[in-house]
Amino acid sequence: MRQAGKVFAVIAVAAWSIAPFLWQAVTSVKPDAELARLPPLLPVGPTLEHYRAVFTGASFLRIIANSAIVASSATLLSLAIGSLAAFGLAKLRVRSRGLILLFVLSASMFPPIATVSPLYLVIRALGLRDTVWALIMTYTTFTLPLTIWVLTNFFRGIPEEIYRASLVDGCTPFRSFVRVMLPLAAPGIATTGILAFIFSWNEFLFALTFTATDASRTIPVAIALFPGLHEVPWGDIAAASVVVTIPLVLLVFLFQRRIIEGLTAGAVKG
Amino acid sequence: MKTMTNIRLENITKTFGSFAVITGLDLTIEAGEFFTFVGPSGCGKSTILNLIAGLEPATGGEILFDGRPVSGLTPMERDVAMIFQGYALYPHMTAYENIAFPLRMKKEHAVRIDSEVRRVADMLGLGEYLLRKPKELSGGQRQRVALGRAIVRKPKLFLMDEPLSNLDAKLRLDMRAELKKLHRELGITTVYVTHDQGEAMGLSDRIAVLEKGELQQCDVPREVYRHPANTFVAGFIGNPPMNLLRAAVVRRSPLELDCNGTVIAPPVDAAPSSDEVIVGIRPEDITVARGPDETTFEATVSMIEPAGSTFLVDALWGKTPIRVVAGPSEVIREGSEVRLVLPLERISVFDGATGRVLQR
Repeated sequence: MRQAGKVFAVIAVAAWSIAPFLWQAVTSVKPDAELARLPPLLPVGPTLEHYRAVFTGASFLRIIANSAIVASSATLLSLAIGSLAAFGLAKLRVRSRGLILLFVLSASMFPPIATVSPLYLVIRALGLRDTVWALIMTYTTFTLPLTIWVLTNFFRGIPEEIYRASLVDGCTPFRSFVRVMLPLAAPGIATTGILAFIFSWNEFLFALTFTATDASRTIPVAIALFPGLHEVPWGDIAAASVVVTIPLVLLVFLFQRRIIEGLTAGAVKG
Repeated sequence: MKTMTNIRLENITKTFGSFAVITGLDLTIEAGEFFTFVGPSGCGKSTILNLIAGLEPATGGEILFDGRPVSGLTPMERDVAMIFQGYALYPHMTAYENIAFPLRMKKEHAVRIDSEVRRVADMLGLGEYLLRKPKELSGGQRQRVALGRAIVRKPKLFLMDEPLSNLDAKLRLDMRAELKKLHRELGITTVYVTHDQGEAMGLSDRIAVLEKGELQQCDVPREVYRHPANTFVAGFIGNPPMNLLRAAVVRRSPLELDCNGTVIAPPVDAAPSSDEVIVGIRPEDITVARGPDETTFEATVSMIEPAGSTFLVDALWGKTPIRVVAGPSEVIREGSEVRLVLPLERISVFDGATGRVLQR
């Protein structure tokens, strides 16, 4: 009985979470004529028309490429800088590390809308307007606090003895970082990497502000700009949303396995 | 074989903030020696290892290897190997990779690394486990991998930080024997840290007893056991520990003491500083009286605990609890009176105020 209750609860939560996405998926294959009518719930004559429309012309592919470049570069940069900083804060003799961590955290407390205009001025002054660099830099800085915090905790969780053993075995601190600490922090790297990637992939405000053309425009902005003068192409929007959500879903599934692997493989002593 | 290294600790001090962990430690560890720092937890013994390894800088004093100061040198430059309490194996590497790691860091040739790893693995009986990761190994096997990782590079010095404390009792004895054998074969100077006095006594050429960061006594195990330098060492070394009883000074020269109503005159070499002293008697030195011409006292047996070949006897001498180790042939019953012999020539007498021994 309790088991049944649990199963029901799980199904309810899953349905609640996945419903909007399903709606979007269903919408993306409905012919235009059926879009605004409710019965039928499922399309009578499913069509790939919207997908064809989205991919017609090079611009949507270009935009997906922009998004991929921006999100993966920002994620890699954030992980590279963040993991080094976190390793230092967790394992090296750093004065007032608590203060440093608080300072890092405080950087993420400002709402984006408060920083968007000053950042715009900076980006313009650097001559980076409407380039992917503007977004890569911004996203890197915005994901860094999270990366540093999560990874600092991960590195702290690695026993001090293991770090010391690596020093005795002939590592410099940097070598120990690369050969021993980083592999052991892999689950943390995967987790923060996913979060940073999702943030960068979905971010809208800065992308809207710093980009002007297809040269640097990312997916959320592009989809928002689909609506024409007289009508909103719901079908096309839905199709585009489905296309760009799939990579995220795949990514999460891929890394989820790694996270679980990493967590169970971490046994240090008996 | 490499020449052996001696280590000199000169007036070493280590403080964390305002807290002094080690104060004025001064001793020499001889080349090729198995030297043990023993003391209760928090006495600073692990810190000493970290200082010798170069994992932490000393606040004051100097550490010398073969007469050369090593401060400022990294652990690698000091050429030390260390075995940690939790083994500290690299969980993402196989046993083979763990053992090979220090050689890889030294950029040894791959062929040489392979032959060295296999030689060490054979020596430790790890041959068939080399491809397993630490989590797939038992406690004893992990311990061996940690040992292998330390000996594979033939360091100048072994540092061992409570390496046996995570093993179960039987395995601990086996590994203890193995460590001793290994030390004899390799002849490398070994500095060992433990809180287990039995381990220290069994393994070491010499031991240093530490308490609150201060050296209490440093000598061969037999001497430390037979002639503890103060009441702390007396109570710490030996299991069951030495009986420590208060006694009043009746006469100063020659010294006569009133110990629980029995007047005794143990031989001493110095005069006590006050009118009270502490008398130390090893439980196994107290025997059941047989003849009339001995210094004896009456005690009530409160509990008998069989300990294999002997019995641990808790008795009350008046109101003072006293422990006695009795042989298997003694007839003692709980609750009964027993006449016990005070072995005058084996009694230690400590100053009542300073706790220092008054003999030798």
